[in-house]
Order: sequence, then structure tokens, then C-alpha cells
Amino acid sequence: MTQTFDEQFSKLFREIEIDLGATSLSILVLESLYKAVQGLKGQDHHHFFEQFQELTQNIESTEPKYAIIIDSFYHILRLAYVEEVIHPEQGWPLGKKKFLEQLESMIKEKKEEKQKIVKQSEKINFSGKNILLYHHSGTVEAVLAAAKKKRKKFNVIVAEQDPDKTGETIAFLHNKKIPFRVVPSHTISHIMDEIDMLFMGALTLKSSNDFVMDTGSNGLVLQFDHAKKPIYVFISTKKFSLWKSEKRSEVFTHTSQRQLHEKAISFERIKFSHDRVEMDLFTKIITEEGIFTPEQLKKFYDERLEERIKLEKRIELLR
Amino acid sequence: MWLPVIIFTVILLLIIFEVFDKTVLASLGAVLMIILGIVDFDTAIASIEFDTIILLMSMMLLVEITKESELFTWLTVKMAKISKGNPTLIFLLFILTTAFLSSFLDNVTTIVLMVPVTVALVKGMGRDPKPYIIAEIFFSNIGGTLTLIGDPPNILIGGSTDISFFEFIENLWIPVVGSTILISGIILALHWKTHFKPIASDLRKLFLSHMLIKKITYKFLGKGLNKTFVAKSVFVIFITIAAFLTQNILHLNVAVIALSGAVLLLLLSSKEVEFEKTLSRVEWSTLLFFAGLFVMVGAIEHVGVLEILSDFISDSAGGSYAMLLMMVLWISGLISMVLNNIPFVALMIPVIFGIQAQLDPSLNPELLWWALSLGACFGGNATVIGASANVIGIDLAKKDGVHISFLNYMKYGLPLTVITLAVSSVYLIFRAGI
Repeated sequence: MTQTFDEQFSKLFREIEIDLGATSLSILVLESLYKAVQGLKGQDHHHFFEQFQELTQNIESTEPKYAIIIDSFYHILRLAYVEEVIHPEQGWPLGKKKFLEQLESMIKEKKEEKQKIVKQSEKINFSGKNILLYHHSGTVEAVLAAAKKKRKKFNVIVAEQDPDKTGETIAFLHNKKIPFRVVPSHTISHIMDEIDMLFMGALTLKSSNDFVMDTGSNGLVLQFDHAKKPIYVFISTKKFSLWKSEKRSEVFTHTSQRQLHEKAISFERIKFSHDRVEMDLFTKIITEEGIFTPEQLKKFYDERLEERIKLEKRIELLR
Repeated sequence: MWLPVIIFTVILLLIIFEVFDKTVLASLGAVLMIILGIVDFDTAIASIEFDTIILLMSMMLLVEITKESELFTWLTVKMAKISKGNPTLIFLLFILTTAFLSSFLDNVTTIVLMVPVTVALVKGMGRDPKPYIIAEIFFSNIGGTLTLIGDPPNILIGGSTDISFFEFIENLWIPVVGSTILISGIILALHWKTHFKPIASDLRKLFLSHMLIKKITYKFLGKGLNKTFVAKSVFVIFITIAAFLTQNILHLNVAVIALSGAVLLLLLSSKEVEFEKTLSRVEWSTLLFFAGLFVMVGAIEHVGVLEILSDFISDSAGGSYAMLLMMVLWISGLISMVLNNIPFVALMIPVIFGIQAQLDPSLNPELLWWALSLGACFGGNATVIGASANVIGIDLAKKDGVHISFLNYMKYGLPLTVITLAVSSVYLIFRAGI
């Protein structure tokens, strides 16, 4: 019963991400933070700054880490820092109003983010093409739904992966009346000639220049790279992990003992949570900030990372 | 003369020890009473209180359809939202919602609605949900005591007497509200430091609470509300309750009112619900259990045993009406702590009629019904096995990883039940003007 905040947030975020996806989770987090700040009583600005730093530390310590949430918290932390350093004399009611306004605009922006990516995706021509889907992504679904709404003609081939995720993709395509076929992912090579391009979503981009994607993505992307077919990733830049990460240090493995049902053969079954896929393998990366080549995105990422490190250092000095 | 008593006692013991399903046992008892010639078939059928059976069936239909509209789930989630994560408010809003819902729905349905939301919210906040769950079980039984349709003992009493829906509320609201205030105050005071301290100045706790409330909202109301369906349900429930409350003016039996409400809602919601499916959710086995029970009690009454029991209780009171009331209240309470109170109340109804026949009318003989109702309903709170809602609540909590042992529950249940019975004693003695 005595769970730490880190453990409580980890469990809660993971459960919500499984149910709703990372983007909806990040909106839910911002809405909850808005309500929490709104209901917070008996504060001065300094006390709030301290409490918010503690909360940010908890958010940074969840397993797995959610870059999209951490990014939002750093936006608020930046405002809290400015208020602490530049307007220390300012009373809490006024400060609280500023935080609420900031959160409100962030929620609005977050809700529009997907639409911005959809807008950018209009520059990709996929009319009359056969598109392969694998990684289950709400952003890719939004792009396809918008294209279908605009009466674009295209076909989808779904490469099977985790049954729940594949099932959700199938349900989406069925609901939107998008023509589709399903193929086991290990037999893709048999229909490679029919496929024109691969659409992927991603959980995050790491400082090691790898995208984190559903397991099995790496092999599939390598196959497409080998066949010289275009591979597109649709991801919000708010999902970027703006911290230094070790190669593969955050890919979680789950090992379990299993028995084959008819004969009693016990064996170890290893399951990985995600794949790391090199950014260089992708043709284009479509974000709300624009469409990038891997080279361009590396530059963009490095600038963002540097900015974040600077802010962290400034806040560290205040501690 | 004693054969029906033996059959009834054996059947009751088999029900208590759950040797067979209670409906099968009650039906067996009824069949034995007829085969052994204790009552003939016509008398047996005549002893079934069809008012009660129809009232129960109609309320089950109303509740099932309304449940499908998600109205009750919406209400529970709404309470969580209003609480804004404040532990004291969560506690108070949840127990009051439980008590309110229980006064119109059956207690088990209320508990099935409340416990999963409570566990998800309170456990998610890193707190121990036990006091909340135990309190909800407690208040489902207390709330159920308020109305004629709230708890089976009251349905039995209402079905056998001409006491109206409004008279139940008029006569029982003081001990129910008094017990609610006292019990909630005691639980809050006992756990103030560990469970109910405000969190309004703690950003992390507030944030966590709001996250959980959001999660509960999409988990329990994921599909969203069908507003037309909800509006139809609210409309029918509203007019049904209004008809219950004005029963004396309308001159309609409660069973007729409930059946009219159920039929109206079935008609209005024909697009939203499948009739056959809804009908299959009515607990027909419970209705059959009641029918069997009525036949057994009718047989005992037929041979005159219950008259002897009435005389015995009256004589034991030594001519003191206060003593008589206390005997009915506390014996009902003590028996309901460990036994299913439905057979007991079914048996006691003819006994109370017998006692009333011997009483001076100036003594307000109606109070005996309230003593029976308060004793049977409040008594069920003392132990896990005292009422169905207790068993279901504990089981649901266990499924969500919260283990409440028999003794753990009784540690709260027994003393708090004694307090509620004491409140009832004071009320009854005051009402009797002694």
C-alpha cells in the first residue's frame, strides 16, 4: 500500500497509455495539472515552485519515461523559473492565473498538434498507392482518416503484430471504410512488390538518433530500406526525449517461464517492450513543425536538447 | 403441529449453511408442506404475497433498464469529480450516494456500482480503501432502511400491511438520518489522521487525484451517455417515485405503481434495450425463493404455531410495551447479524400481527413494524454474512486486491451496529411516549 509517487505515476501513465495512447495521455495529464493548480490552496510562488520541481522530478522518474509529458512539464517549469527569478515579489493569485493561462493554451495546442501533422502530411503524395501499416499509431490513423475524408484513393496492407494492436488498427480501417488487407509480418517479403510505402508512428526519438517503435519495426524498416522503398514517420516533436540516453538502455525486457501445452516442455520466453530503429533509415519525418530529412531532424533535435539542458542547469542553480 | 416448524427449521439451517441453492431449498420446503398435507395446494397458493413478488419484479426491471442507460454510473463518476480528490469529500459523497441509491435500488446493485469506482480512486491515490468500502456496505444497508422498496424486509412488511411508501419514510427517516450522521462522524474521527486529511495544499496529491478521476471517467463511462435514454429513465423513475409518495391520494398499490413504471420504461426504451435480454436479467430465482418462503410461513401460520409465538413474546414482555418494542428490535437485530433476514422477517410478520391483536390500540401498535424493520435492516450490518450486500462488497474488493477479513469487518461492523440499534431504541421509546 505504501507506493512512492514515482511508482504511482508509472503505473497510472502506463495504464492510460495502453488504453488511450501517448497523445491522449499527455492531454489528460495537462488537464489534470490544470485542475490541480486551480484547486491548490495556501501557496506563495516560492512554495509552488518547490512543489512543482518535486512533481517534475517524479514525472522524470517514471518507468518508462514519457517524453511527451516531460516536455509539457518543462514548459511550465520554464514559466515557474521566470516567475521565481524575475517576479519574486509577485503574489500567488496573479502567478496562479499565469500558470492556468499557460496550461490552457498548452492543452489547446496539444489538441491541435495532430491536425498540424495531418496538414503537413498533405505534402506527401500517396494517392493510388498501397501503404503498409505496422506500428499502431493514432497519428498515422488521423492522417489516413483525413485523406479518406478528402476522397483520396489508396489501399492499406496491415502487417500483423500484437493481436490487440492489430485488432485496433483493423477496427479503425473498417470504421473509416478504408480498403485493407492483413498479412503476417514475417511474410511481407512475398508481397513486397505490391507495397509502395511504409507509414510508421513512433513513441519517441532518442538522443542516440533512434526512434522507439513497436517491436518488430526494426526488421521491417530494414527490409524496406533494402528494397529502396520510401518509409515515412509521423511524430510530434513534443514526443522527443530531450535527455542523453544510452543505446538500448530503455528497452524493457520481460522474461517468463512457459510450458508447451501438450508436452511438458518448459522454456524461457523473452519479450521486449520496444524496438530502436535508426533515424537514418527513414525517408522523411513528418512533424507539426514541418517535414524533415533525417539530417535536418538531427540538427533540430540537437538545438532542442541544448535548450533543455540549459534550462535544467538554470533551475539546478536555484535548488 | 410441530412438523411444519421442523421442516421450516431444517430448511432454514440448510439455507444458512448453503448446502443447496436457497431457491431450491425454499421450493422444497413449500412442496413438502403440500405433499405432507400440512396445507392444501389452494391454501399454499393463496399464502403467496403476489403484491410483494410483483413489486420486486417491477423494481428489478426498472433498475435493470436504468442501469443500462449508465445513469447510476454517471452519478457515481460525477460524485468523484465533485470531490476534486478531497478524501473527506470522497468519503462523504460516496457514502451519501450509496445511502441514497440504496433507498431506491436493491443494496447489492448499489454496492456493485460503488465499490469498483471507490477502489479505483482511493487505492490509486495510495490510500487504504477498506474504511471506505466498509462504510459503503454499512450505508447501503442503512439507506435501504428508509423506504418501502429499499430492502427486502421493508418490501415484505410493505407487501403484507397497508403501510404506504410515504409512511415508511415519515417513520424511519429520523433513525436513518441520525445513524448516518453518527456513524459517518465516528468513521471520520477514527481515521482522520490516516485517511481523511485535506490534500488541497499538496500539488502532487491533487495532481494524482485528478488523473485518477479522469481515468475513472473514461474507464466507467467510456462509451459516453445516451442522453435520450438517460432522460427517459430519469423521467420514469421520477414519476414512479412521485406516485409512490402520493400513493394515499392515488389509492394505488405500490406493486401496481412499480409495475406501471416498469412497463412504461420498457415501452419508452424499446429502441435502446432488448426486451428478452432485460427480462432475463430479472432475478427469477429470488422471486421463486420468496414464493417458497411465503408457502412455508403460510403453513406454519395455518397450524397455529405463530399464534403461540405471538403469545410467548407478548407474555415475555411482562406487559411493558417498551420491553416489547426492545425485544422485537434487538432480537431482529441479533438474528439478522448472522442469519438471512428475509425468512426471519417473513416469519415475524404474522407474529407481529398476532401481537398487535392483543395490544391496546392507544399504544401505537404500528411501532412494532418499525422495530422489526430497523432491527432486521440495521442488524445485517454487524457481520460479513449479515446481508447479501456485505458478501458482494467484500468479494468485489477482494477481486480488486483489497482483502477484508471476517474479523476485520466485524471490528467495525459489530460496534457500529450496536450504536445504530441504540439510536433506534431511543427513537422507538421516544415515539412510544414512555
